[in-house]
Amino acid sequence: MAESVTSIDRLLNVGSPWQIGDVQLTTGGRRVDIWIVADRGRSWFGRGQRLPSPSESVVWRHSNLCGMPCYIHVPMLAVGQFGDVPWAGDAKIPFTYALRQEILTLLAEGVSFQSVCKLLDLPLTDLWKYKYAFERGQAEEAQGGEAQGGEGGGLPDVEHIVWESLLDGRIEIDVHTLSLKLLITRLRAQFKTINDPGVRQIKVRELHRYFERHRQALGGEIAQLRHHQQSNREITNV
Amino acid sequence: MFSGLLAPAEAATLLASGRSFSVAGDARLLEALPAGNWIGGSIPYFVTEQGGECSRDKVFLSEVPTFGKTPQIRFYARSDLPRIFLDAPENGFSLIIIPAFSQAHADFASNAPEYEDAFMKPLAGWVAGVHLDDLGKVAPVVANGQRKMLSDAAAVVMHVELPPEKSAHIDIVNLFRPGEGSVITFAETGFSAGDCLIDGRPGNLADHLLQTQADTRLPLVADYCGAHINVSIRSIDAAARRVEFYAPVFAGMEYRLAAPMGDYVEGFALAVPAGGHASSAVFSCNCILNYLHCGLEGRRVGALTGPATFGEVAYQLLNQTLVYMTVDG
Repeated sequence: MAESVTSIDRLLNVGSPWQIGDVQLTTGGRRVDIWIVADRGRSWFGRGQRLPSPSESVVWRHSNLCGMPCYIHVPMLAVGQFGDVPWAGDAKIPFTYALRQEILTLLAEGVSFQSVCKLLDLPLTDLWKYKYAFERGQAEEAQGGEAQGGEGGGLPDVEHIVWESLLDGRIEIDVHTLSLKLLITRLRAQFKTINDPGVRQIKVRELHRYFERHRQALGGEIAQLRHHQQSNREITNV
Repeated sequence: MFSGLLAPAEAATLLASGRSFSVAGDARLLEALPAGNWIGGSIPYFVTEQGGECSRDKVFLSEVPTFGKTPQIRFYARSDLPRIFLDAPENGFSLIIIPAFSQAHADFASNAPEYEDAFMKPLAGWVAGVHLDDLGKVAPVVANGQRKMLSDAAAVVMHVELPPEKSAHIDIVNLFRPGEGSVITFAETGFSAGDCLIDGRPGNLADHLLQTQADTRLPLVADYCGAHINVSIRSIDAAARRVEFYAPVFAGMEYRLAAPMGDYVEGFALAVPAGGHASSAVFSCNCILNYLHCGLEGRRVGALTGPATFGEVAYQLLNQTLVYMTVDG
């Protein structure tokens, strides 16, 4: 087991001051559970490297390992001390950062919730929990606020790349407001012919101003932008 | 809120009451109406609760919700039109009526999307026309009720400020969908076109429509981030190899001829269910081409009533589309 645990350490990129405490495959190899604990010389309240009991643990669903659903178990008291490592997550969200990145990438590509669940073998309820937390800003709070600049009401800052990405077509969102459909179409047409960064920024600011002005009517559109904003951040972090 | 077709005497009583209205009717009738808080445009075609109707003897009144305030009404000459969104109230809406075939019509059609603050504030309206028997003989007109003046050159606009808790929303009902045919793109924006790209290859639109025996009652349709926007075909000049449109095609946009449509009334009932949000509209207008091509005369088309016009405005000029506005909050 010691040799295989070391291999999984490398596979998951688990390093000091953390290490794999245990790995368990369920009968039939349909699920893998991995416990991550403090490495030698580190302990919390004397618990040290002991595997935490279920009541002392937080469990995150991680990216599939060799096609099997993978669950990361960590001591509850250690949550928040892992940093942005891909196998970690937040207490209120059932997924690791790595899996969240996968989910957001698929959603950003327009894959439906049902299809994301099917592709990643996720329960729909967990995905809805994540979406709910995300839209309530809990995801941002858990990560210490808007890493790339944010403002009240969840509207990404005008400097954020998500606005330019919307105008150059790198990202798409479902728009329900006629005026916004027409505005984005016009700005995209202009963006194609504008190379000057200053002029492009004027167009970005125009779009941002529209969102500020109609913020109350654009809850769905803003939530999608925040998905893209989060996706962009997680890609940067991981 | 009153909305319906009235005899001129009945309309005059309502217009003199101090309430605000958008009025559609024959130019001769508009000229005779009393001063008041109203704007008007010439057109004898209407979609009423009883069905489509052509009348030179009645006017259609749509009451405008102003919440006790007096609306600002003014003419916009061609050179003033770029200010239209800037002049609109911060929270409110604007209704516009533009005389067909005027310079203001051409300018608004080609440039409205580029006006300062376009799409930031709600703008709805229509293009005034004439009875089809009078095409080329009589100029469409618009009316400023406060000044009791008509114009065949300038657009008339009513700016309405809303209380902070209210907001206006404009939407469209377009039953046309892009067909399976070729993708057509144009190098220049304009009311007519000849040479273009057809599926990426140089071609000529007039030749293409004639060769494919296209049904030119169907519009060209472009996808604006999910909103289907029509450009209706006015005529084909085979000798000059050019096609005239009722609204400009825009350079770079991808157009397809619309797919054939079934019965408009049945399609409309599915698209706009009775009792839905659209049924609370305070303003709506539909296109004269839908009235004609879809056989609306004498047929009921849901709860959305108003003039059947020579063009519709929802922020920019549209064709073969129903436009409606709601005030929520």
